[in-house]
Amino acid sequence: MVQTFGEFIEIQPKQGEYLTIGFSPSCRPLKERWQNNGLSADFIAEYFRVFFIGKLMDLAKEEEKVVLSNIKDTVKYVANELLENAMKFQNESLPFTAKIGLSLYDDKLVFCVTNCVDEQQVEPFQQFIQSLLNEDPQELYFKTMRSNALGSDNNRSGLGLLSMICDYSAKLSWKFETIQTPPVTVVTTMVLLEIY
Amino acid sequence: MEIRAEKYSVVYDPDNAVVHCNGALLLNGAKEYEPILQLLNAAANGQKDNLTINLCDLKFLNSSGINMVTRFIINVFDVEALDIALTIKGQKKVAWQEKLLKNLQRLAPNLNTMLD
Repeated sequence: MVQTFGEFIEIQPKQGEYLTIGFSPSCRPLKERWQNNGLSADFIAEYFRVFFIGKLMDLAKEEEKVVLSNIKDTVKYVANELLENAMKFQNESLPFTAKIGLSLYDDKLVFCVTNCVDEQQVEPFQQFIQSLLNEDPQELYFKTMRSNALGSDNNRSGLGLLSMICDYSAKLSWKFETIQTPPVTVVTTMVLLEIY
Repeated sequence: MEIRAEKYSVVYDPDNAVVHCNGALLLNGAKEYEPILQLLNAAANGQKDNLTINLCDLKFLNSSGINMVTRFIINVFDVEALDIALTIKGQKKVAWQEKLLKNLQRLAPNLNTMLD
């Protein structure tokens, strides 16, 4: 069974410039991989930064440097948040390799993160997605910041996803796929950033 | 009072009433950010007039870090209602810092924000 939320686009076959990194749950404990999230996000951001250099020829040198640095920060932030979520919610008992992919197009950057989740996480996650898609994201963002600050540590606060939408104008969509018997749910989170 | 790690440091300078944050903060959830939150709260409680949190040299902050900063701001203004002028300083040319400061000010209108 396949369920999608938001405007999920299938990107197959892979076209253009893309990069995919896989993370096997059996290779390293979560704690050590946590350090790798930042490294992977940094690598992805630095790798794609090069492709923006030619696009910014109208800008003065100093301004170009600032814009490039901000593009790099944005790619790093989105990649890191997606990786952190994938590592946090990945069902480690299953031999499933979590993946992050980034595809570059003329007008957009598309991030795709795939991981498998525990069955009991599916419903609350889908409820959260529904509120992300149906409520005013800015209001939800501030409501979440406030409730996180006043409450206890909320593992599924969604602040990272909300900040992508509110601070980086990202478009988010999801695909939930049941792939085996007994059912294993694989979630793909897609983040689309328009390139101006 | 200071916290120094391989990739970041948070240093409280009580004489100048400033906390300097440096490096990249990519810690795992509220639990790992707790010592930094404690340092910030102690700094705010230790000052009578004002305190500045300088983020200018902070290269990266993940969403758990944003969460920690909002916890601190809410604690100062709403929970403890401390009578100090709190300023968060960032760089104008660093887009994420500008966005963070704008969001924090919306969250706590009495917060001073300064963009260099």
